[in-house]
Amino acid sequence: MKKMLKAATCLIMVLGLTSAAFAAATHTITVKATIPTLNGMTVTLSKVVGTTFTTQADNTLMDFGTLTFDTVNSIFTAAYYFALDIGVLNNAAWTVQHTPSTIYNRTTGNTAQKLDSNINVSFFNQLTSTTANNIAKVSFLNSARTVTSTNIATGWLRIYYGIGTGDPANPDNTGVTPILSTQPAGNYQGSVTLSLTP
Amino acid sequence: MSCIKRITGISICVVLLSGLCGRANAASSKTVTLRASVPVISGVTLNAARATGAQLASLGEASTLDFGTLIFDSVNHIFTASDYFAVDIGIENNSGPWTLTHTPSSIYNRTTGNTSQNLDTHINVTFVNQLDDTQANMLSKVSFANSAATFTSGQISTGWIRVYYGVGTGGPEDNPGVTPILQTQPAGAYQGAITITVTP
Repeated sequence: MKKMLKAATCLIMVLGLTSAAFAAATHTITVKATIPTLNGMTVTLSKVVGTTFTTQADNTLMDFGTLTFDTVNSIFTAAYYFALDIGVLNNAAWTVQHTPSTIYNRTTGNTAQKLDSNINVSFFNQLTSTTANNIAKVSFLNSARTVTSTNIATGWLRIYYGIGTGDPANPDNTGVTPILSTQPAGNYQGSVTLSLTP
Repeated sequence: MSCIKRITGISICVVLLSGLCGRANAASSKTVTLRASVPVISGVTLNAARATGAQLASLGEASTLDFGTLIFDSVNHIFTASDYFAVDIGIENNSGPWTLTHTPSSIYNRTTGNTSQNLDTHINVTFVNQLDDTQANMLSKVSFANSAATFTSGQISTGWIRVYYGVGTGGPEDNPGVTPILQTQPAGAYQGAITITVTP
C-alpha cells in the first residue's frame, strides 16, 4: 500500500513538472503616457489689401487710418480691411468670446457719434489659407459672439473687420451701412476683446 | 590425513592461481553509462530599453513603458515624446516550433475613463528580427491599434525579436496607420498594455 502511494505521488510530481514546462509563457507590459492640459490662444493680425495679407507686427491695433471720401457715392471708405487669426491651444472643450466696445468719436467725446453700424465683422472657420466656412456675418454693433470648439472642429477662427461699402456686388453684412458724408469728423476709437475659456 | 589436507591446500592454491591467470588473459571490456536529463524549457525573457536617438539605456525586465508627460510642439501643434522604447524578446524553447503572440490592450484615457479617447493610432509598433546589436531584418511596421501579431520560430532562424514602441511624429518615419497626437487630444493619464505569449 505504502509502495503504491509512493509511486502515485511520483507520477503526480512528474506530470506536474511536465505540464508546467509545456505551459505558455506570458508577460504583460504596461504602456503609459500623460497628456498635459493645454490652454492658450495666439492672435495674428493681418492688413488685407484686395487679397494680399500683410502680417502686422503689432497685433493690438487695427487702424483704418484717415478714411477716404468717395465723392461719387458720398460715403467714407477705407483702403484696406483686417483679418484676425485666432489659434486656440486647448485640448478640452473651449469657448472664445468676442466682445466689442463701441467705436465712438474720441475727439468730441460724444458716444452717440459712432461707427458700430458701419463696420462689417465676419466670423469664419478657416480650414486652410484659402478655404473657410462661414460662422456669422454681422455688424460691429452685433458682434458680441461666442465661438466654441464645436464650431472649429479643425482649422482656426478668423474674423474679418471692414468698413461698409454699400456695394451691392459685395453686399455688406446684415445691419451694416456705409459711413455717410454726414458722419462728424474726429478720431474714432473702440476695441474688441477676445476671451478664451477655460 | 594430514597428507590429504596438504594436497587439498595445494589444489586450492592452484585453482586460485589458475583463476587469476585465466582472467588476466581474457579480453577486458567495461561499459560505463553516462546519464543526463535535459528538461523541457518553454519561457520568454523580456528586456526593455529606453531609446533616445540611437542610444539604448537598459531598463532590465521592466514591466512598464512610460512615455511620461508628453511635450507640446507649438510649431506643429502636436504632442511628442522625447524617448521611445525597445523590448527584446528572448525565447527559451527546446520543444520544437514555437509561436509568439503580441496582443495590445487599448491605451485609453484613465483620467476620464473614456475608452474612445485613446492613443492606439498614435503609437508606432515595429517588429524586427534582431541579428546582432546593430543588424536587423524588418518583420512588420504597424500602429499600436493593429499590432496584434503572431511570429513563429520559422521566421526567426537566428537572433531574437525586438519590438519598438514610439509616439507618432507626423514624419515619413511613422508606420502606416499612425498619426501624431493632435492638440485636441484630451488631457489625462493614458494607459494600456501589451501581452507577449509564447507557446508551447
